[in-house]
Amino acid sequence: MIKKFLAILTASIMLAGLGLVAAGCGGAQGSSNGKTQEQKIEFPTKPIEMTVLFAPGSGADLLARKVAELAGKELGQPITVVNRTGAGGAVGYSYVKEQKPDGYSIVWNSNSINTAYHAGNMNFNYTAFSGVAELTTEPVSIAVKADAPWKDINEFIEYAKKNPGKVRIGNSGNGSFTHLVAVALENKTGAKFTHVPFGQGGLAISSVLGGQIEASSQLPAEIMSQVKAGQVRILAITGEERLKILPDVPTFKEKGIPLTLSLWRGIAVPAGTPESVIKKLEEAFKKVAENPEFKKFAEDMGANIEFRGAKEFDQFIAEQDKELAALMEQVGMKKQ
Amino acid sequence: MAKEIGSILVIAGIGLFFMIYSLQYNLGSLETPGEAVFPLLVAIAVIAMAGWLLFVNILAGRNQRPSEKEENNNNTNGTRKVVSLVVLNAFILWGMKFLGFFTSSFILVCLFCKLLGVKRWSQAIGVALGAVLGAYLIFSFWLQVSFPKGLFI
Amino acid sequence: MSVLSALEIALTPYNLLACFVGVLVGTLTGVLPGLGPAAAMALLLPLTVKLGPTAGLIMLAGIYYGAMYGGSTTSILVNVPGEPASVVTCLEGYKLAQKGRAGAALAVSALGSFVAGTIGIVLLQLFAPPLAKAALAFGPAEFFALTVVGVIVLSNLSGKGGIKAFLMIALGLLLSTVGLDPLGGVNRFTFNQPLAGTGLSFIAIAAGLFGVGEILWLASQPEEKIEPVAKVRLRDLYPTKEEIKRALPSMFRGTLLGFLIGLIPGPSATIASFASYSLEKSTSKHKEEFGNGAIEGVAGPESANNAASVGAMIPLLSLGIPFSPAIAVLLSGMLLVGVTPGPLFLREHPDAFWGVIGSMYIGNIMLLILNLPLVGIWASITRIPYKYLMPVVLLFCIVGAYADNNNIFDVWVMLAAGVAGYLMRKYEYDPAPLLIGLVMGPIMERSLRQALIMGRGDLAIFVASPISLAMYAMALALVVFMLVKKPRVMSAD
Repeated sequence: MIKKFLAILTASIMLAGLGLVAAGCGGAQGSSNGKTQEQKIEFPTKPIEMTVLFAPGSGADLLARKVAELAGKELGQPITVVNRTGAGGAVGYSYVKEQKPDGYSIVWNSNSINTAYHAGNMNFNYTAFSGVAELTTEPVSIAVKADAPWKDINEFIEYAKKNPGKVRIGNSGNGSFTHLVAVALENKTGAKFTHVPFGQGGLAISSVLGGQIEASSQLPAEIMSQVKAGQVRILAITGEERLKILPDVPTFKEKGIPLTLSLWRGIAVPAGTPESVIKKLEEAFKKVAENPEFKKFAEDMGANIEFRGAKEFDQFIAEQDKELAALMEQVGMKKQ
Repeated sequence: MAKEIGSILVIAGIGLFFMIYSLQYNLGSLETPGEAVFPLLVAIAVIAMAGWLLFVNILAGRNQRPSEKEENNNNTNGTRKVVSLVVLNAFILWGMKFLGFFTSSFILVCLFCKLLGVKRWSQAIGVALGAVLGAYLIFSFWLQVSFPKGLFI
Repeated sequence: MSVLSALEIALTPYNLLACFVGVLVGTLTGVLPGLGPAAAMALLLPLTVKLGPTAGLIMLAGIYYGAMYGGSTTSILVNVPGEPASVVTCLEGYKLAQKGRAGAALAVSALGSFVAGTIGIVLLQLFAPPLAKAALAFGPAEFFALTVVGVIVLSNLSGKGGIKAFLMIALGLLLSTVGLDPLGGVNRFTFNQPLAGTGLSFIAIAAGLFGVGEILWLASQPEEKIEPVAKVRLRDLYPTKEEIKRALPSMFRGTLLGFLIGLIPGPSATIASFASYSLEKSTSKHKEEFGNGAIEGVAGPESANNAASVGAMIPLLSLGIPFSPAIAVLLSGMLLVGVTPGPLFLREHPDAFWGVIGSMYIGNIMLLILNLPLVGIWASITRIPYKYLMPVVLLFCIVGAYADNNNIFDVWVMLAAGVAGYLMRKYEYDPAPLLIGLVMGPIMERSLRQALIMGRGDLAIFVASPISLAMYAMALALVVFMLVKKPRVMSAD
């Protein structure tokens, strides 16, 4: 009897807890509704689904969730984030491409659209999507162990030039953006590295700490804690200007190496989505890019705000595609 | 013995399939091993081990003569049931594109109940309704998983 | 700061509530197949930020270790693993349930989880920095050596071991290569189907081989043969003294083993549970019971996966490096609330650090209190006739396989694995070694190729460190031992 009572008690506590959690989750979404009535087109009238190509908790995912939260408020309809991972983004892109081009299926786009296509993992390229808005860029950092002998990036490059292939640089996978940046660095300086792919999971830095490799190439946010703790030193980052969270780290450009390739992120929809819908979405995401809350968040994540509207974004992706295709060709990864 | 040999042959076949398929990928070199290296090596290992087992089995078969308890649980009725379950399942998975996740799941559970021997339709429908509703509440409503949509939900 | 003041922070009502919500959600995600702790934590990240650093991280950590409690429930009851780390619990747990000992298995697994969780935190507090340093000594060459030893050690998992087990492991390794290659870049064996680029998901295959395979097997049996177990009496719900006595040493062994394996990057909790099962099987005094429901086979692995999940926190806390996807979300959560994981965590946010440590002691007690009374409710599920239960289980397998990655391809994989599981049962193959191959494959391939690249063609890298040398010596000794002790391993069975 007592056991039965206990069981019922636990069950009801669990139910109560469930409700509590559900309320916590749902709270953010139950907000404004019907603000959009006076607009000419009736969009959106139901929740929008944003596909994220990488796992929950990854850098891409965290930015995407913040963007979705803020843009949902602008649009008056919630944007739900759905992770569809695999094949360097090809799984998610393939899914979104198959959806109705009505603006209710959007994708958190990035350079993966270029690399996944050229690696031969999907049979369509960036033209299968229409850009809506570019929101952020993230530089790539070259990091070494804190007690490494090289004072700055120039010394590092000098050493690599004198000892071709001896410097081993970890990256997040063959043909990944961090790999291509390291290859571009070879092109711009004439140095020669041995590239060690690590795949997803960001363990390149643990091999740097363990002394198995000399350097690694990754997004700065991934190694922020090791940098702050003084275990790892970033020699230089790509991009046009320094990052606010790393005010002491120079750019390659400052050091006389013209390497600015950055990882861009933004929103895209399947090609064929009506202009008016894209326009509506573009306006909402523009407001997100201007939102101080988002600015702060992006800064903490090691990202710069870089807004481009739909037209410009399409153009930009086309340019990037050529540049990355050339790099992939060079490392023998270009399959199509 | 026959079924042992048959199943080993199937595994060897899988190994062979992977071996041939992996040849279309890049082998690379010792300094830069390509994506074909690992599957190729493992496939060769699979084929080698399967070959060895086959050899041992045939040898044993010759020595012992066929004296196995072959047809112990060969009930055709059961096999027919399994096949129909799998076909039903595949058909409904395929139909998910049109019917949506929850409608097709409902049909699946319902028919599954009947196949397993639930007598009354009302019972089957009741179980299906309860299960689908539970799945909907937990996964779709609470966890906001995005399921394939169709006719109704 | 001491344990007492850590508990003081964790025991404030606000933090206590956060801890409760965390472990509750964790238990639920453990029970629900397909929904892993990583996804659940990501879902609650916004709430974490609102709660503030200490309470937020307490909640996230609660989900993380709580998930290891719930995972065994469905393994034991319906042969469907709720988490990858509970796959091995199907082997003995489900058999125990069929014998009417579901309650005992569930209670022992909760108890083991509690023992492992609590000892794990003590070990973490005592040894975190040196262990983190030791973890860094493992580079690709050492990991490759480790996987070689692992495959040999774990080959005794299946009924008879020997070459047939190696064959199944190799088959698993082969299947693990489907999808994107682990060093990134190329999709393999997908017939140009983009959705297949996700690969053969471990949880879909496990749910298929065990869960769906069992459903199909039961369906193939004549109806009168598959009636559920006889009525379970109330006092049968909890383990007997004898069972506890047998389970306790397994729990301690599993805890120690799991904690150490937790330091390996990748799916360490899953590997830990397999390793513990293998250890229990070879040291048990009741070898004949393995495969038919041995309580040690539940107690060991369920302790090991909990301990591994605590051990896996060491690289995060000491170095700020996430070794698994779930830990990566925990790291994201820290960054979101403004805490720098790694060595600075303790210095900059002592409150949050000790709060989390303290809450883990409390959370484990909560989990025990939460889970033990549930045993009765769960065990009653085994009394439902199969013809009603199995269709519902199938539905949950489908939902779970889909929800794992929102990809319908995974559901097809599960169905195919179900058919394979049925056939393997019919033709007397053991699915467990195949799953070992599947989980070890990516680590093995990645470390092999990385080591080759890093050695720049010089094979000496594989034996360059004493760690690798010791591993290979161990592997060699094991093989020799197998050949000498059981010459029959080379034969068919």
